[in-house]
This record gives sequence, C-alpha cells and structure tokens, in this order.
Amino acid sequence: MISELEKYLKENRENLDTDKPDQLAIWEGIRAELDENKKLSGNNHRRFLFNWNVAAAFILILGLAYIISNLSRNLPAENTITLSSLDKSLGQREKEYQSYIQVTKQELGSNEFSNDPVIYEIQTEIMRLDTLYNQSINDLNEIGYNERIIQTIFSIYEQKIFLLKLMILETKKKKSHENKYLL
Amino acid sequence: MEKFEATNMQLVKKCRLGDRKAQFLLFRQYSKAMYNIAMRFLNNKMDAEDILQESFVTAFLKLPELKNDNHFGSWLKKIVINNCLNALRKKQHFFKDLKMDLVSDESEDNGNLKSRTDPAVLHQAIKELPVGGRTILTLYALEEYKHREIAEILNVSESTSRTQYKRALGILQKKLKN
Repeated sequence: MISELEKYLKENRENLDTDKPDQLAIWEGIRAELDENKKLSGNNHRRFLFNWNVAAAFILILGLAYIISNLSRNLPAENTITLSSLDKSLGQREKEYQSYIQVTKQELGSNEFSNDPVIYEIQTEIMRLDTLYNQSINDLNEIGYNERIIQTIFSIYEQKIFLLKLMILETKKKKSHENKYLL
Repeated sequence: MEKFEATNMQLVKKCRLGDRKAQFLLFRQYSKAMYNIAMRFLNNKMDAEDILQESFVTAFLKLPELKNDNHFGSWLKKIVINNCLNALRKKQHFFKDLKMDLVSDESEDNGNLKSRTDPAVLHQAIKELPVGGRTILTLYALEEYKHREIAEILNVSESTSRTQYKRALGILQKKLKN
C-alpha cells in the first residue's frame, strides 16, 4: 500500500507542482539584487584599483627611499673631499702650502702682541680666511671638481701665508721698537 | 527535447555574460518547479518566495562555477534545496521529531490511488506534514536523494531517515484517506 503511494509520488512528481509563484514580484527582487551586486562589484573593482594604486605608491616611495639612502651612504661624509682626492698634484701643492704655513707659524712663535691693533687686524683677517677656506671645501663637496673653487683655496693659502709673514714683520718691528726704547 | 536543451544551453551561456533577458527567460523556465520544491519544504509562501529569489541570485552570480551548462537545472535545484534546509535550520527545526501516534496502519487498503488522488491535493497534503517527515519525504520520494545522503545532509542516522520517511508516508496516507 505504502509502496503504491511511493510509486504514485514518483510517477506524478511533475504534476505535484501546483503552486504558482508571483513571478514578476520575485523577478523584480532578483533583478534589484543583481543590479546592486553589479554596483558593489564595480565599487569593489574601483576600490581594488585604488588600493592597488596606494600600494604601488607606497612601494615606489619605499624604493626611492632605499635608493636615496643607498646613494647618501655611498657619498663621502661632509668635508671628506680633499684636493689630494681630486688630483694628486693638487694634493701635493696643498701639502706644500700647509707645510709652509706650519713653518711660518713656528717662526712667528707665541704672539706677544695680540693686543696691538695692527696684529689684531691681521689675526681677524686670517680667521676670515679660515672661514672662507671651510666654505670652499664645502662647495667642493657639493659640486665636486671645480677649477674656480680650487683656485680660491690656493689663493686663501697664499693670502694666509702673506698675512702670517706680515704678522712676523709687524712682530719684529714691534720687538725692535721695544728694544730701541729699552736701550 | 534536444531543441529545449540547446536553447537552455544558449540561455545559460548568455547568462554567464550577464545578459539580463536570458536570466529572466531562465528564471521563467525554472521558477515554478523551484517554487514548488521550496513550498514543499517550507510550507510558507513568503519564505518560499524569499528562497526562490536568493537561489536565483546565487545561481546567476555563481554561474562561472558551473562546469556543464547542461546541468543548470539540477544545479539550481541543489541550491534551492540547500537554501530551504538552511532556512529550516535557522528556524531551529530538527529532524528527529515525528510523532508515532500519527502513523497510519500500513495494512490498510488505500484503493486505487492513481485514479482518485488529485496531484494538487497530494501536494497540499505533503506541505501539511510535520517538518521533519516532510523534509525527508520530499528529499527521498520526490528529489531522489538516497537515505545515506539524507542522513548526511540532515545530520541524522540512516535508520532515522528511513523510519521518518515511513512515518511521513503513513501520515500522508491517512491524510489522503480523509
């Protein structure tokens, strides 16, 4: 008996579908959901592109930072460029000036007349030359090899030597003047 | 039949491209059958309509996952059945609660069932069955699931599925007699 009902169910499977759905209302719902989804997936796509752009910009910034960091690491430290590092003969010439200045300073000895207005003026001028020398070395580090800067540096050495010699003469003059009065 | 399949496949292909007209034609073709399945599971017009809408949206959106366009109907039916079962689970319907007192006498003669049972009456009688038995009867007798598969889907034992099916059939028998 039950098997007969079971058989009947299977045989009449198609005929059982007697309920009728409100097709138009349901379709409206489906269409609205599909439209919404399309919009969302469009937004997601745009968001994906935006996120990708942000990520790409971030990677670019990181890359640039890495390159700049490497470049600055490879650059010599400030004031590390010397004339000898640019050219051996320039370095040699600088050394000669520096030795000469060293000898001249030794010859000058301790300055007993620093309060003298002329000596004071010369000392101030030498200090100004030292500042100018540091600036020229900085320029050289920034720009690299530059004939005019190199000439300026040598000119500073020469002026410094001249001023030191002048100071020696002035000191000698003062000393002889003192001796004259003492005698 | 071949012509129908060819048309059907063409519609599915167009649906894959998001063709709204093809989607509507497929919906019109399958909506009645799917709605009746949902009604037999849920016995609620609004719930069945919700399931229908949800299932078609899922099907159209997940169409790229369908490997064979020819299997759209059975694939859609699976989506509908899964959604119905999920809806029943959400309503906390469990599938072990058929009442023994409603079981009919199996030896009772039901006469010439074929000639005197209106399919609409039978459909209505199925919808009025208790939810557990109704679900199993629909799955086994109408959707051709095996008891092993039903047991797996509903998380019950195979013997529970068999027993509940027999009971549901008994209740149905009694209803039809009345």
